[in-house]
Amino acid sequence: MRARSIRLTIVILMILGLAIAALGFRSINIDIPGLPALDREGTGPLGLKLGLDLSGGGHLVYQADTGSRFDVTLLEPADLEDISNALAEFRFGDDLLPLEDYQVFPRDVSVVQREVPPEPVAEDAEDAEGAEDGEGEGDGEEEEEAPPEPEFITVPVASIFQVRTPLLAPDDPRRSGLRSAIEESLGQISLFQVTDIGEPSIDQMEGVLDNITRRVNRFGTEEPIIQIFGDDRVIVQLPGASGSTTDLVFSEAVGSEGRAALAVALEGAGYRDVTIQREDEASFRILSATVDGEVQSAARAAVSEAVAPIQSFSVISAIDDAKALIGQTALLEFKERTCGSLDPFTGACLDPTDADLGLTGDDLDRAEAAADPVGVGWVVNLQFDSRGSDIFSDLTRRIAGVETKRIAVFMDDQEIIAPVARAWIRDGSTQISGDFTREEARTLAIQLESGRLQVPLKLIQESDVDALLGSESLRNSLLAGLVGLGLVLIFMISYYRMAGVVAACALVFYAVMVLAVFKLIPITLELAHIGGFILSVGMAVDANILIFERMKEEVRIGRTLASSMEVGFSRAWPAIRDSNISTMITCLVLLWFGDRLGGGLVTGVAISLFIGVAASMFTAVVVSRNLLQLMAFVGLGGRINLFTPESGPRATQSAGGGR
Amino acid sequence: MLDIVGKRPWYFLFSALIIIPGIISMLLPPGWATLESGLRPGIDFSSGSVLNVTFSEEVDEGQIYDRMTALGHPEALVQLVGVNNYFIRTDVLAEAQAGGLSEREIIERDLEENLGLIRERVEFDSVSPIVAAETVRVAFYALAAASVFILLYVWYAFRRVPKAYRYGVSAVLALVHDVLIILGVFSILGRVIGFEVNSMFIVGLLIVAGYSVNDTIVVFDRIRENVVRHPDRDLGGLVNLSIMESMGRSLNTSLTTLFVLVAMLLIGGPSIRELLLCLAIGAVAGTYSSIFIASQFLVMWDRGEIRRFGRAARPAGAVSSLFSLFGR
Repeated sequence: MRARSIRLTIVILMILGLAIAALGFRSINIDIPGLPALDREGTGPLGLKLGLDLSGGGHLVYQADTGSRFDVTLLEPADLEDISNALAEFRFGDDLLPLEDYQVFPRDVSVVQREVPPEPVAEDAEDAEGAEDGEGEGDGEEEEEAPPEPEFITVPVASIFQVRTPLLAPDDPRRSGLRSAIEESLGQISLFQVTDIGEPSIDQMEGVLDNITRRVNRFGTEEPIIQIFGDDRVIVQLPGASGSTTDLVFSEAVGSEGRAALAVALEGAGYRDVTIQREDEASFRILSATVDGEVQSAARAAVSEAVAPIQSFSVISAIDDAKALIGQTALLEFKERTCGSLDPFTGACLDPTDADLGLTGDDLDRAEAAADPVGVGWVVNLQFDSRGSDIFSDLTRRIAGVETKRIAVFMDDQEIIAPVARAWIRDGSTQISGDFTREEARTLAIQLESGRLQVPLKLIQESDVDALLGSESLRNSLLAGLVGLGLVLIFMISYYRMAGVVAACALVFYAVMVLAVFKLIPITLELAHIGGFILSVGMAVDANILIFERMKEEVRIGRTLASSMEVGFSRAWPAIRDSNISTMITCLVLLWFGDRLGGGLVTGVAISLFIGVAASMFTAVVVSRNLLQLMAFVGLGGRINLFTPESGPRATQSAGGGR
Repeated sequence: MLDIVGKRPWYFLFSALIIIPGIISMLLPPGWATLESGLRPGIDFSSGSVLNVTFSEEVDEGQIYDRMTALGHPEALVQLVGVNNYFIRTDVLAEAQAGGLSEREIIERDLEENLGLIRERVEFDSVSPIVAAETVRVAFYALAAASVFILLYVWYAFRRVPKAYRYGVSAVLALVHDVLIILGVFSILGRVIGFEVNSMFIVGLLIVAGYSVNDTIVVFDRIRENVVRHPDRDLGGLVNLSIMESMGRSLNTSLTTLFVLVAMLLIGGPSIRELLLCLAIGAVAGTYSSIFIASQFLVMWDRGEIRRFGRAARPAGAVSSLFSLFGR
């Protein structure tokens, strides 16, 4: 009995030591050969990982939207203004349905000079206004004095544009009526194509994920979390994306001295964590953690004084910046690359220059991975549409077999591949080969597809916490947790005396162990976890209270302390076991559903409550029990009154009478 | 010994006095009798945007409301939550169009300029209607599924006691009771002080469900022990004995849990206020329902009072049977 108790104590102390070590070292990095490497580090206290609501940052949930796409090519270009006016005025079918929630994307915008006709309409309008104000005469005279001069303005026009709408039913009058409505108001259509984007496939979601990841990485936030969630959603978490981006344009060129002065001026005005990126000779982009408007206007004044006159100074918050990046349509472009020279050994392209071809993802009909029909590896098959085929045919005719020419493929201005053209391809059906593995070919095809068929994304949930507020929440809840725990300890010790001291030790052990588990798993702590943790503290206390109350009963009927402990434990055990198992069952059910509820919020609570309940069972049954036994051995066992608030023969009899 | 079991109809009456007004308050249309709507859905359930803003100096709600109206958001609700700290709730704020500013940015800049908003202490939440409807549905399913599993587990764990399924049903009844109490209280709070429920509230509801069963089973464990020990004695007497025996533990446990929760409610910020309040009410309701609902329901079932009450469900009989219950 005694030996077992001592062995158990050693095990408990070892666990405690490990838990304290896990928490004590800010970053843990253990790499044992044959086992997955353990690498844990967080920014929070004790090296815990903190969630967005405790550290600040943005949480965005996007959903892939369904939609219908109309690609329209007009014979004659139309004014952009006319196009958007016409679309707004269209009414379809018997119910005169308007187009709803639509967007227009013109593709070949150019500008034309146009003479402004003198506008009698404008005069009428002003007259009417004047009459209303009762000051018509004065205005009228001024107008007569103004001589009508012919004016020229530039007007943007386009002949190719795309209309995107929410998904239209097959028999929707807007689907069938759009073409004739456009022809009526904007002129002849040479090409009209309808594409429906339905529920996204797994591959399409991967393409979306790929695009977002690429952009968010370019945005440069630390440790972004980007993951697919459910069938059609993407969660983007941007820890620390709570600062601002300042676009600064000077009215004159600024050299490297000016740049250094800029950095000093910004820091002097109170900008924190500044990164300065040069855009061109007169403009800079400044990333910073500062969002305070006063600091910004102070900085503006300081910079214009220290560096050069400012032409424009605009600040947007980082999270908006990130959203703008994520929301951008992915741009897949094919460009003609001319190599300045070739590496004599590897044949690699050196000093390349790229020329626009006007060939983009919109001209692509299909991209898919396939087994190489002649070789052993995998290839990606491409099929261009009719416009794309023409451009591609023209391109390949010129560059097929030319050693210094490549077809460079760009996604959002990043090169993804630059193959050599082997032959003149006239029908727009081609393949990219290059010793791809199956996975590589699939990834490339998904990238190309995601640039071809844009899966529209809709922001359905957003939650931003500024860093300062996050750290305040953390401090408050830590303080509150400590105060709460302290109160519990005081209560336990004053009510249960020595047993309360045991419970207090067990609770501290419990808290250390749970935090260590949180760190090792690792769990990203959010406010909701703290909620789960608090209630599990309640349950951990409950297990101890159950044991002590049972013990008290046994002492009352006249048992010795040692045997009261044993009997008390065995009596309390079924209650501890069943109640905690039922809570764990609830946690598991919540975990099951949690994926769909609140984007991981419920999952987090369920996990922390589960860990808490499991740990509380362990501490009550192993730690408290062992501590009590140790006390009994060292001679405290004889002094029963240290353990229970009331004891003695009277209590014994009245309690015994109940049986 | 205190006769707890004998007064059982009163406990149900007491719970009904909270739950029924709560349910009525949930069902009544918003604005009824000059009060605000009942269970006030926060943006997590009804969609919209919330800005939690802090000002550098004292500002009153009217000033903020005037700015919001000027910015095209007369629907904005402004609520004081702390020192110079307000929630501003609006319809979903529009995203930035190409080259422009988002509505949120415009509002923040305006409030900064006119009222001294501290830009570094802003919290923003926005939820579209798609997510809103889904959350409630999934939470409901999760609770229903958890109830079924708990019923089955309790049935199994109490298999040595006669009619073990009754313990499972009673435990789930206590769970439903606690959830209804919380919904009722929040619905009334919503009317009186404009308290809104958000997804943290749902999280709290689910945690309380776990706590409720935990607590009920501890009391049931006593009953199980006594029933196995004295199979010949009347269940009512045994339940009364078990409750008295475990009373000390029940009070101590819920008190210690409340300590922590109240400390956090007083010290912690507004971000988890809903969660903590929900847990605190849940801790009290959970303890109450284990003793006064779940255990008493077992006794009523054992004595056939439930069937009698059910049979008398016809209008005339119901009243007389209700009186006969209280008459004892």
